[in-house]
Amino acid sequence: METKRVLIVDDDLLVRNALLRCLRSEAYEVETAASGRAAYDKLTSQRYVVVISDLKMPGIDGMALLRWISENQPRVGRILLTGHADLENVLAAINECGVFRIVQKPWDDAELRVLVRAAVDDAAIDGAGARERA
Amino acid sequence: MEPFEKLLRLFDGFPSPSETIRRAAGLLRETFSAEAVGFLVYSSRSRSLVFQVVDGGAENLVGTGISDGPGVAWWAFRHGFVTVEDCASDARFSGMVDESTGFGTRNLVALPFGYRGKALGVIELLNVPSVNGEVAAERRAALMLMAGHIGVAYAAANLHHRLALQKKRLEQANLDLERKVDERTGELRATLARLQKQNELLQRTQTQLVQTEKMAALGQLAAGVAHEINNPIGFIASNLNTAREYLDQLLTYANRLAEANPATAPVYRKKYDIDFVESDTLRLVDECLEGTVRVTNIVRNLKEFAHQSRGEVAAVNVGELIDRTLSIALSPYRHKVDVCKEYQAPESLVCDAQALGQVILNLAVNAAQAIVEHGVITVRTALKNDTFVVEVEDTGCGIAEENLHRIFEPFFTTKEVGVGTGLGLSTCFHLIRQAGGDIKVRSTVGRGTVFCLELPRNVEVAA
Repeated sequence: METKRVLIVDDDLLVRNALLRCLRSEAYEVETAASGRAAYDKLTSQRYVVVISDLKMPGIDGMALLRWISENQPRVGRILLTGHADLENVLAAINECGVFRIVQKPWDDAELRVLVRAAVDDAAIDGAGARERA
Repeated sequence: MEPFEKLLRLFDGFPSPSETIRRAAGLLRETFSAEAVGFLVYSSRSRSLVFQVVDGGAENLVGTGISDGPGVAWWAFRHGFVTVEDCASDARFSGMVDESTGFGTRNLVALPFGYRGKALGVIELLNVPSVNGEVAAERRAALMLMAGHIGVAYAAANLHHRLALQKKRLEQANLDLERKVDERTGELRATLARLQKQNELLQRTQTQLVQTEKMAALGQLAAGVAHEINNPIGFIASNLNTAREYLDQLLTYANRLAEANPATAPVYRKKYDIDFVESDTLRLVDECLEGTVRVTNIVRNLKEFAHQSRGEVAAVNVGELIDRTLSIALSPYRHKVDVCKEYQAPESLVCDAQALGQVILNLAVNAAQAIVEHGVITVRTALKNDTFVVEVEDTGCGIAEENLHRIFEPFFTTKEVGVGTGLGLSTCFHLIRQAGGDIKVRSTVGRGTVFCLELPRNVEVAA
């Protein structure tokens, strides 16, 4: 069975580290990217089941990244992790990027683990279905 | 009574000029037994001698003017006393006047009257009884004397009349002036009052504008700061959780090692004060986590405080809004708070429901926190004139006099550290002011507090 990978995208190293620790013992591999551009490079060369992305980043921001994923890799689960969740961003994330969940910073570790697990399971079922249809 | 005495008495009581000569004409006619006496007064405007009074003759002559010419009247006016013994044969007499009146003038005495050598007019005595063919010759002196006196009296009457007229005019002018001054004063006062009102309004608008701008700036700042703070708080809290797990693992590991080395373990345990460290470590981490929760709350409240209301104004059922808000706000305090609702205002109010809900929520939570053991929170709505009033009253501890004027200041709080951020009431104040309303407070220490929201009743929004 293929290894499930989750990608964390945040421009803050300490946030990435904290998330890595939080998700270290989960039943999937966790990788990180420090920018939208780095995430794009990883996504185009490697398969991920879930992407957890920050919103505000220099260059390609979280919204643009998630939109690209929803258009090009719709089976990848999308979670927005942001400290700046105003209504406008939330609506855009849901309507334009089809995000699975929106998590506010500061996040609750246990809650986040449950969420990511659910997103990974969803993507796996989706992926299995897609393979069967293929 | 002597004619002269009569003459003197005639001018008692300041008669008018025309009355003066009317009386004089009557006296002259009586004194000299003339059939008629006429007074002609020189008019500088028409340059003619105008009949002012005719006594015993044709009254309709009054007002008729005789232009400068060769007649007896003008001769007398220019030269003085004149007697026409027989009008029929005297060329100086013109029959024109008689023709118009039908009066038959047989003889005529004419003399000027005036004042200080200036002739003012002419007196004519008609048909005077003749003595030896001479008309009134022997009375000439008396007549001239009386004419002189009449002249003085007439001039005096004229002067008096003019003075009276001027006095009247002056008085009227004075009255007009006073009225104008009054009017002007009134106008000035009204203008002043209007200006003061406008000035006040301007100042209030300016203050509000400055306040609004300050809030907008603070809003941007708060949003930015919130974002920046949420990131570090995010990883601090998460790392603390992880650290807690790590420590738990380490402690378990250490205990296992201790079990395996019962001989040396107690020595090291004592040396490194492990009893205390073990008991305090997890508490320490929990306290740090509690700190991150507080920071999170402050940031959230700061964002709410500076929240730019989206101004979504619509007709709101206020009673429902209050019910809903109270059920959320007061659920943690159900054991100690009884709620009393007195809704008297009409249900619908056009307002920003989110803002009003937030204000009522804050007030309700404050009220509940002010109640120490058990108490009542009363929420009232009422319509006063065109103001929609919402009152939130509690039977709690009250607010100390010295704090009353500070409660709407940002970051002012008397609550325990970690309970209040000092932003709740300032948020309320800001939101209510933004809606064009006002928020007032009455409080008695030990008895309770009433917060009163006064909201303008906006015009109904078209559906």
